[in-house]
Amino acid sequence: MQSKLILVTGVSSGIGFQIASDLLKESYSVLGVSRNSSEKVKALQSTYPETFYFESLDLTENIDALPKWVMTQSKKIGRFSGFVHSAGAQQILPLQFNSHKNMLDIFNLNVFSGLALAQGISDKRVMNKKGGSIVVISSIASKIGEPGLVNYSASKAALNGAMRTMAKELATRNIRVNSVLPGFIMTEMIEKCKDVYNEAYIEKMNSKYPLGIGEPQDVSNIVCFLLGEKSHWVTGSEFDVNGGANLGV
Amino acid sequence: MTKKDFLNELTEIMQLDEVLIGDEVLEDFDEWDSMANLGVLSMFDIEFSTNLEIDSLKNIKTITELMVLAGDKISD
Repeated sequence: MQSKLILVTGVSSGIGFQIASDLLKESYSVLGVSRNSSEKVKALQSTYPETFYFESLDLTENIDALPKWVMTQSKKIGRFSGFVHSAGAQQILPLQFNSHKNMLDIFNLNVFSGLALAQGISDKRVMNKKGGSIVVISSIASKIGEPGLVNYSASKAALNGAMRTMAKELATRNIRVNSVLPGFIMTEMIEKCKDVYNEAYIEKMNSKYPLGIGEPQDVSNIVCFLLGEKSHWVTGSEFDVNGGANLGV
Repeated sequence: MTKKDFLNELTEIMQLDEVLIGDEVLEDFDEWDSMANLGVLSMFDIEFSTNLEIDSLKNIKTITELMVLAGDKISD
């Protein structure tokens, strides 16, 4: 029987945590990665001691080493059947204050680490012999402009482009690759930044979303579908999950 | 590049569990596919500054034949 082991990045909170949690409930094994652990991660470790593995890792520190790191993990815990790149950073920065360092900070985590991990996961010695599924968490910002998000939106658009090429390269080995483009999701990160995401901002966002702003669960539902057998004929696609925000004003 | 380094690199390109020893027939491997061919073109470009055409790999059956394409850039 093929393993059901999924690598999930950005697992300490928000969308990544929700995905890991839902996969574990669905009897998958999960290797979760984030820079730091969290109370929620510790709770998962205690609830699923046999099927949840956690590694604390700064994905931006040595990106070229990530493919080998995946292989080492695979030798310890088994072949992977999927990968979700949910780790990501956002910075709100007007174009006039941008710098190469700011661009690199965002691209290193949002794009380059994800591509390096996808390289490692798709290795014939690492991925299930029958294939698997890779999902990258992109954003509505890859398609719709928002002031101050130039680096973030560029990085998420880059993920969409990379996703399509990976999908074509890996299709012969039955490895599917898709991206999910969430709209505004209420996560702990948003709740912590009350100065930016204040009541007026949330109200403005709500008015842009015909179905209201989303929850991590809304994103996790489609990610779990894309990782599972029911999506076996789906690859190279972008999935908008945004409560209708892309319908326009 | 030494022959050993070449074989290690080719093993990585083909993503094989066992390191190649040099007398294998490439056609016997499922891993000798179009992506491996592209990987070999990249290796020749980066390591030997040689721009191979994909067609030049069509008639390659063995590792020995592949190494011949690198000429004297592979040493014992």
